[in-house]
Amino acid sequence: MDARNETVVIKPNDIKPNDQAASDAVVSLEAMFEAQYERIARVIARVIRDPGRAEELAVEVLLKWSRNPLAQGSKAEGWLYRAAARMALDELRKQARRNRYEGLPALLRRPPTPEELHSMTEEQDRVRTILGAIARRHAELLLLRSQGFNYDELAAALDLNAASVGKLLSRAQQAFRKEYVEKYGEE
Amino acid sequence: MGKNNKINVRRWVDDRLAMLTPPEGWRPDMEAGLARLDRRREGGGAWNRQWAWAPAIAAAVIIISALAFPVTRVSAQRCVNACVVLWNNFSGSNRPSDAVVATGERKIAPDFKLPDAAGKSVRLSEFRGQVVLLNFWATWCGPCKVEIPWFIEFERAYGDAGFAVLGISLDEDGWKSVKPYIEAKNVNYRVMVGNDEIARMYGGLESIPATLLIDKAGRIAATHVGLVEKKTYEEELKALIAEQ
Repeated sequence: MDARNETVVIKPNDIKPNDQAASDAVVSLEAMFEAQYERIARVIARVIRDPGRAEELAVEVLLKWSRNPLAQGSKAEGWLYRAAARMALDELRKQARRNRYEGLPALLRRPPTPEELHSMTEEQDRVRTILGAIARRHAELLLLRSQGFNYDELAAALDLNAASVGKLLSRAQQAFRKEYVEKYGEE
Repeated sequence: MGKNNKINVRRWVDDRLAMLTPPEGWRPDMEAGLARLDRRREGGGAWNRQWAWAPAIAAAVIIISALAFPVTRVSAQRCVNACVVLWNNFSGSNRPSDAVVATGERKIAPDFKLPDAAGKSVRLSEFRGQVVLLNFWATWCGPCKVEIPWFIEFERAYGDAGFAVLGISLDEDGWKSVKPYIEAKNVNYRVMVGNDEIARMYGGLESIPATLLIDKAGRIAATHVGLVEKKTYEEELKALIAEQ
């Protein structure tokens, strides 16, 4: 979690007069960009393969955030990461659909070598495939958890009851494992 | 035991998710990101959002208006058929003369054993002595939906002449989608649900429909990826049935 704990720069002019708590202060889009852009882009790039596209989507996340009054204040950070995870998963599903329809005739391609089959990239692709295949709620939970969110932060970001996060996370892990084993077998 | 299992699953999943890392050495370009943010905020995006649906709506209106009249509907159908033929000719893979491999160059089709919709086991090698049309498809695949009625017809017309159609669905949710679909379409040939192993055996099969014509000796005589003309299939399967 420490990676996300950098201080958010709040421009004094951007704070609403009626705001009581500093945590509820409205942060300017530029300040939020400075503080969060890189990490949001990295969250997305973990999920999708194209870093250029991850940068585009990170900008979209920040724009969406700036237009959503309910995402301001103390909820901002959780909202941003949830939106980043969702956008990344949606993109992953879109890519999977595109690949399905537009894939090159696989029969004409050479089969992968055993080294390729066991490479890190292959494993990453498998993890991405499974994240795209399981329920989006499960995938969001797993992604944010692997991003370092603790139970309270997960509850806040995903609008969950903090007491049930553990159970939901466990279900998400089981679902991931089940889907993986069904697709790729026990390893 | 249950707790240990839970811990193991958690660790197992954590290990896999930890493999997801951004590309090594890559850092988001802050300057380019800020420039993009400014561009999007200044209204470029707003225009896109406002007008993004306009071409789609215009196209839908034109198509619906055209299809409302029988004459244009028939023309549209002819146009689609012509496009399919053109594409097939352009891609060059589906001409019957090119697609059917000479007898001596054919390779044995990998054998598999899968249960059909009735739960009965289907083994490809049991069809030796017959010509088999092996079709890889899925319920969500548009071109597959076009071909399935042809295969039903082939099964009916040539089923007694030493010919069989076998369908292998690659639907991710398996029988849940496949059973209602084949019942609704009255599919009269045997359908199985495939798995990754089958797909790998047949070269990956990332693109469907993929259809193989297998000769009486169990060898792959023709391979078609994508939508193929009905006439092409029929000519090829008749030629294979006639082979000694």
